[in-house]
Amino acid sequence: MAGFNTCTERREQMESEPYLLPLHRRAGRSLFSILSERRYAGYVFLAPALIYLIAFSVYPLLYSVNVSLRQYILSKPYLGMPWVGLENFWRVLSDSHFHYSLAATLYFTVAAVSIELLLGLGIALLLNRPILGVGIIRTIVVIPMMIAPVVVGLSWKYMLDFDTGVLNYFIRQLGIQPPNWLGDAKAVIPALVITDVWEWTPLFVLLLLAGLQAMPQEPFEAAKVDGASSWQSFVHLTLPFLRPFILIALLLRVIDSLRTFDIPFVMTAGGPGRATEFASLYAYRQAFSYYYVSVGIAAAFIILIVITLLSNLLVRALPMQEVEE
Amino acid sequence: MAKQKGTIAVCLLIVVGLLAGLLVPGAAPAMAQEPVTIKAIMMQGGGWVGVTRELIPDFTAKTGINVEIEEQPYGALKDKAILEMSAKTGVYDIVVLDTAWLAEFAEAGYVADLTPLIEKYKTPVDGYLPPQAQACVHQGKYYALPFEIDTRVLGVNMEMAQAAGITEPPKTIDEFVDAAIRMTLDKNGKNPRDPDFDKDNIVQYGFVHTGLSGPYIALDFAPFMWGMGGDILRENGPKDFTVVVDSPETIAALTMYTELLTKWHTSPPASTTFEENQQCDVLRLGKGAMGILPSPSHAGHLNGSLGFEDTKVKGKFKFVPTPANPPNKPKTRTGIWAIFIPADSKHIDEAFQFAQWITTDNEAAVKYAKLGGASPWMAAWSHPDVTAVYPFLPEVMEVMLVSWAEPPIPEWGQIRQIFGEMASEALTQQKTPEQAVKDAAERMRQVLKDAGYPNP
Repeated sequence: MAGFNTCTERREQMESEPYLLPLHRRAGRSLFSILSERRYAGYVFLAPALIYLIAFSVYPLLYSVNVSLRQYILSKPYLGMPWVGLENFWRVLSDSHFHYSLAATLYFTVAAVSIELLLGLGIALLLNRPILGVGIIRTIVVIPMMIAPVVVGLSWKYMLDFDTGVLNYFIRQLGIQPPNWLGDAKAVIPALVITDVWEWTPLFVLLLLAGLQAMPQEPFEAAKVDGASSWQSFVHLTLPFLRPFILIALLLRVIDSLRTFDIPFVMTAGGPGRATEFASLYAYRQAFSYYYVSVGIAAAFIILIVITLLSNLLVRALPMQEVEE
Repeated sequence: MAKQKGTIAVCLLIVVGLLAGLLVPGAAPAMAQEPVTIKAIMMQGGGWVGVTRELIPDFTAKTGINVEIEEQPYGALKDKAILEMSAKTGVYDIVVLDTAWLAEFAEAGYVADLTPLIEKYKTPVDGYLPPQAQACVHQGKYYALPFEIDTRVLGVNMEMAQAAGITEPPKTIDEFVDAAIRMTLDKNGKNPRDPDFDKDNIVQYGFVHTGLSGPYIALDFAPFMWGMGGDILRENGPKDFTVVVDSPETIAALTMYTELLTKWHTSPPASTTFEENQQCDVLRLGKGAMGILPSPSHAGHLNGSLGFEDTKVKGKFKFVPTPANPPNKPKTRTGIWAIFIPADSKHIDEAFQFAQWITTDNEAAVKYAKLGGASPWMAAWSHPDVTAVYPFLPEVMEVMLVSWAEPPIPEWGQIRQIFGEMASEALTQQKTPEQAVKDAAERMRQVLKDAGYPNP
């Protein structure tokens, strides 16, 4: 800023830009007029988002950290909330059923996401071709994703019913004894995988189709001129170009599957026995069935750490490499 | 500049709005004087919900008080109720729940002590079935009023029994297992003892489990455990319980209960996921011969009560105490869905008036029973209009009067949940009965230990 030549110039400048005045010389001005000054305006613009974030994200997060380090039993409020340090975390980590829950969650995630990726890629490649009615087919393909998971769970619960389910009806027509999908501990996780694949394959289709349509055509034309086969083009061009899209889709779905709750809650309530008590359901049960709220929160934090670690591993395993020249 | 000032004004308004919303959560617009409406939360699918809805207009006409019912699935009902009660939102004036949680709610201060209101309105509590009324008492005070009976009985389709050469309902566990096997038939009419039995083409099941994990299977399996001399907890004295579930008797009972499905195929494979209504449907459609039933409501369903008129077994079922091998006696829990009034309800008095009216008003209780509800009001069960519709009532009354009260401890709901998971793990062959019982005992001991019991 240029220097002031005279006192008059300085006064005139200050009158035109009142925020240059020290606070004690702004007496008598309204709060609105002060907040309208340029130096405060930024804070005012930020304030709604900041207050919202603090009230609904930061404060609950800090509060839940605090509760996880205390003993809080919802059904026994008269016991107060005594400090127990890391005891809740130790309790969760030493519970063999939590180990099972994590393992079952991983099994479900790996199985569901792998199938969704393969199916999604296949359908996206099909829909990327100029076929009749492709617009309608794309719309139909994404419908499952638009349905609320609870509705999906209830619908599949009926479709997978041992006696009256439509799936077992067709299996019986083939002369095969169908599995007891939701009542047999060996069949129940595959049943949930089928449901999840039905609902979430469209997400892979959408993202991968977007990736396929954004690809430059020149490298494919060059490869064709050089005599590359379709398979070679797919492996050496399509897949590398799709890599960032696959990574995003995988990340979204892996995170979502690791914290899956609604479908098993509706379809099996964690059963038979505790066979489908996935990690999120384990945390829920601790907090809202047994009322050990602090243990439930500790379990949720452990799940959060596991999800963060796995997501990082995934990002490292699938770097966004450039297509080789 | 003017545009910026406008934006700043909008931001400030949002800030003020957010702060007002956060700091003054109780602020609500004043409402004009309206008739009182009490809000009740009940279990979705509970036969009594429809019956209660039929009665509400009578209550409203009499008192001017409106009653709204919100239905929630069983799994969400307790969670939602306890979250609202612990947060003191005052959303519900009536919560209809199983008395398994009565001690827990009473000690947490979530539900109102109804004793003063019982004195104020001179509620004739002596007219209730005594065990069911007692289940609503904790440390000498009423924390609920009994509403819908859920005591278990063994239902036996006597037509199917006689066709299998069985003339009387089974009294012992051995007779029961034999009857279950003999009444299981494949499409050629052979039972599982026949070497040519076709287990893939069963047309009639001898005993239908209510096998869904949790409270459902807990209530289905427990009578057999008691009948074979097992138990869950032993009471040593006040606030002193010991876990005794890992006894040879319980293991033997769980083995028998599991083998009915896995070895003898007396139950549909899907019964490992059956809730009570699904089990009752199999019996009602004539595909099952025996089942442990909540009485007398499901007994009513089998005989064609409101909403179940399509029954194929009307008049064919006999209801008897659950089987027991001597010297053990038949034992079944005093199940009762009770009306709780949350301590933070803004209409405690009105809610109590409704609870009292629907459970003790003779006319209301008789209408409730006639429509298929299971009122705890004794006079309703001897009323000629009701006995004409349900001639089996004396049979189930016999069981209800000798039923067993669950331990009045806050941890009971959790212990029962673990017990149910144990039975489900064995029934679905995830664990052997020995392992399932051992693991459950460890978990139960941890629960009691955490709660400070001296000899868990």
